[in-house]
Amino acid sequence: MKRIESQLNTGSAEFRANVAHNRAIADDLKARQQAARHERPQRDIDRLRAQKKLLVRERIALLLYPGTPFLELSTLAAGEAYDGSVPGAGCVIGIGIVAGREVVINAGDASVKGGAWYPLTIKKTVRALDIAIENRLPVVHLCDSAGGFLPLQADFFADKYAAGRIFRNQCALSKMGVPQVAVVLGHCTAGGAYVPALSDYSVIVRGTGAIFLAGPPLVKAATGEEVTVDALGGADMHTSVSGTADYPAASEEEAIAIARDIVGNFAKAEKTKVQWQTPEPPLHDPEELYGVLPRDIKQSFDMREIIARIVDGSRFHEYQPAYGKTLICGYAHLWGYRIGILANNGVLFNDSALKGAHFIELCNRDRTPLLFLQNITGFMVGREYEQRGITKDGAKMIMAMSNATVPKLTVMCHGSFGAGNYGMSGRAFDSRFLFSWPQSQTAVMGAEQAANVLVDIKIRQLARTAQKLSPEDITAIREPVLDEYKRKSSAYWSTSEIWDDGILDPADTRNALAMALSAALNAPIEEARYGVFRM
Amino acid sequence: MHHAFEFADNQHGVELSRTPAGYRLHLDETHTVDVRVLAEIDGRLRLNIDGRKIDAIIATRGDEVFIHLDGEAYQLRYRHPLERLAAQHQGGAADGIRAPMPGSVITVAVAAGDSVSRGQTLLTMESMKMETTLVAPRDGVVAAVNFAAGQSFDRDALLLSLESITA
Repeated sequence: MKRIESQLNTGSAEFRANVAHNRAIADDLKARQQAARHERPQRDIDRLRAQKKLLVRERIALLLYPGTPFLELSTLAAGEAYDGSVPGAGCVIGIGIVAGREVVINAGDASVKGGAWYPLTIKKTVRALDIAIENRLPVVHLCDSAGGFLPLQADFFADKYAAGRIFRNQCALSKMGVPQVAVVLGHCTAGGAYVPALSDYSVIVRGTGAIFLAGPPLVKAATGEEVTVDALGGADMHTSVSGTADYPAASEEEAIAIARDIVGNFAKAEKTKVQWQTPEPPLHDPEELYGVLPRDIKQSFDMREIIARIVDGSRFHEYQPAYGKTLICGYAHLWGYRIGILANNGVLFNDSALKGAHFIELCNRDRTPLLFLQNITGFMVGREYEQRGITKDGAKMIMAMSNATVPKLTVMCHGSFGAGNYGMSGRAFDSRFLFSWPQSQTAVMGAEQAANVLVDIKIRQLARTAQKLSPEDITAIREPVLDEYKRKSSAYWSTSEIWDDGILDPADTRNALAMALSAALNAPIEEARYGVFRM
Repeated sequence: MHHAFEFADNQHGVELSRTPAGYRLHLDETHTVDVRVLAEIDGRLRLNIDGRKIDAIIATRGDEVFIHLDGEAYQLRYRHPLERLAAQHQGGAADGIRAPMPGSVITVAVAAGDSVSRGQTLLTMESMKMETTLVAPRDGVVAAVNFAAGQSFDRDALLLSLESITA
């Protein structure tokens, strides 16, 4: 496979300006992640220490196989919600190696509001279990939650993808034969009590762990019965009387060690066989990605420069290099795994959409996982293109992509606007994993255009009441609209709302994608079958 | 397996096949040489080439191959056979720079008669609210610039051409 010949001039002023700009963005990302992971009010940490509890990341460190990486997902979930008061949405999820097995870890973070479940906590937990289902990954639950955050109960209780979905997903996993172990390190109250109850194995810490449908105060209010936490749902009661939990532990360390031992007894997954060869680092340094990404969202760049800094040996076999050139398709290897890449080099035309659909079918037939690299303003508009059937050609690509059964991975590299987001396997299309780069933007259209549309509407409304607007008035209307729109198009908004599985420093993309792909291969690849292509 | 190397400004195609004991180098239709790797430690190789024992040190950096053999240092460049063949047919198709999509010209960075090098910016254009930079596909001289800033064009319009190098 031929190497991509980079056109990048790493000595140019443009390159250096891009590097400075994008490094600052990556540094800001790391500062935000650091804060979401570790910065907590001292009193919350003191409270946990007084209870002899470990912090959630200390627990995860004890659980993971020494020296192996943890692919943390959605670190900045809820970063733009609840006035930023619920960092990480109050839980930690990710994929790690426990006792030599790839597992999903779902851990409550009691240093955030006592581990209370906010609507986005539940969305993140449901996503963790969806990942377990889609990729057939065992789950380790580290339970420590105060229960649902009551003031927002209407937003997380009864809907299809609300709290009930956690338990529904646990049952689905069990039916699939995918094992789960729960470690009860704090209170599991009401709904939360079902997490250990629906797990195949559960470990509970004496003294701090408790499981009950209602805690002592609620019991007293309901029936008048006075009972202690231990008697109502402590470790000894549940492991020797009720059988709700399986293993009592004297400390968190012991409980986590028992969990590791349990996972060590799980059958090792037979990975789906795909083409693999000895991995090779990229010839072009991934750090140069900072210099490839432009400073302006409107500025385009050659996606081959991105591919060259992600794949093995910077080698790429480009498919149909002369046809539909605004969509680059081709084969490469990622940490040895053969993948098919679709990457945008401009707006999608009829020919690029057809090429994309054809290439997806090839990969799907050959069991080659797909990687979508998005930088897309949409499908081409205008009479000529409508007459040529741009919509039905786009539909073919969406049909092929939607029904592809090979694992799909998506990275939001820069812009993701309009139906292009869909055609390139956006969130709604069940990519096994979807990551964003920190400067990327996702919206139905670009901020400038949307702000203009919104301002036009407002001006026409005001014109009806016969008001004439000065340019200053228009600016005064436009600026807040633009700011709000930009905020809600940003990667930080996307990740806050869990439209992705986390933001990646571009230089880390290669490793994160390989871990994601390795996890995805725990599930078998089903036979390819499509719907009806509109010809 | 087909391989290609660049050595002292010359291109060499090399074919290598497997044998039970190692490899066989195909020099041409009739001449072959048996090659065996007897030992390899961190780039130090003991080879058996056509019955002769040879010690060499080999290091690589990307596609550059450095060989130390019999007190002499050699530098080779590994070329993918596809790349080598494609390079023999450069020019021609790359004389015209056509619009990848309909749009309008923002700036033109060169004029007819200018010498340009591969990768140099020729023109920036806007289409579907995206700015795209068109760069020279090869070294050459600008033959004509067909559009000025502000003008719009259709897809595949010939925006710029380079002087043909076949002359």
